[in-house]
Amino acid sequence: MAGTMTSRRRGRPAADPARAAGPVLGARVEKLFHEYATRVYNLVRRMLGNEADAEDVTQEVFAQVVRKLPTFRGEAALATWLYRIAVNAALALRRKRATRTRHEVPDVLEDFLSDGRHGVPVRRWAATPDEIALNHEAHEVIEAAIRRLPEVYRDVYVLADVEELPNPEIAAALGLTVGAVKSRLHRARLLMRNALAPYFEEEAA
Amino acid sequence: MTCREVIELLGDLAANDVAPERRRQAEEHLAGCPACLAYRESYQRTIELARRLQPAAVPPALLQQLRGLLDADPKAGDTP
Repeated sequence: MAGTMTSRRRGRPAADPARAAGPVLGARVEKLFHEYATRVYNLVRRMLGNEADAEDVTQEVFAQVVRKLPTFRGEAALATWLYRIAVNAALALRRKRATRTRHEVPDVLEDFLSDGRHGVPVRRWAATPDEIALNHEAHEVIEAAIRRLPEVYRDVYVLADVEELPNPEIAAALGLTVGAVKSRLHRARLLMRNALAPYFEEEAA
Repeated sequence: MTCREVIELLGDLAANDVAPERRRQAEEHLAGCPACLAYRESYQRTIELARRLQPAAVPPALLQQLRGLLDADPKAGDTP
């Protein structure tokens, strides 16, 4: 596979001679590499909930990519193929761990009364201007909420709402029906919504 | 339609995946229910927030290791 990479190296002299000493990928490939490394790392980081595991799994994913790329025939888009390897690697680590931490999952449907009305007050969220980037604290709150999602919901949520993969792709990656993906995604969003509400709600009058 | 039914439908509503009559019923409920309106707004905001999450930077040492994996092919040969 690296043979392919080598043949893509343009013969241009490196802009920074010092860089020529280390692995040189070529500007376009470097950009792609950096983008995919970032996506894979963050996907597995959020699925697994910690950085140490994310580093191990990311390395494993790229080792597999190097091994398997000669047999990649473009049946799927490269990104789809990469995501599939990354998801499988993350799931494999979980299975290996085999520690089933039983999460207390609040059933969001408990928030409703028997006649179907809301059982808890629903407050509006404060307006956050769309163009302003999320600040560090907001990021922390959201990432923490994702970590607390039960794995069955977290996986779908990260792939759907964070990575924005289409439902059929998520279904194939996780071995679920599209219906199951939709159902879990909705549950995940309800849990996330409830977890984020205290932070994003308007101040009580 | 009850509040609970409307909330259950929010995912399908967001994906435009609802039969016209059910959508009409849901919108009718929403028009008269401030709680559900607020809930839907926060549900949509939750979806939007996820999209705005920035990725964490890959640790530099890991990036280097990954680069090494890509470059470590015995067939790499000499640079032309």
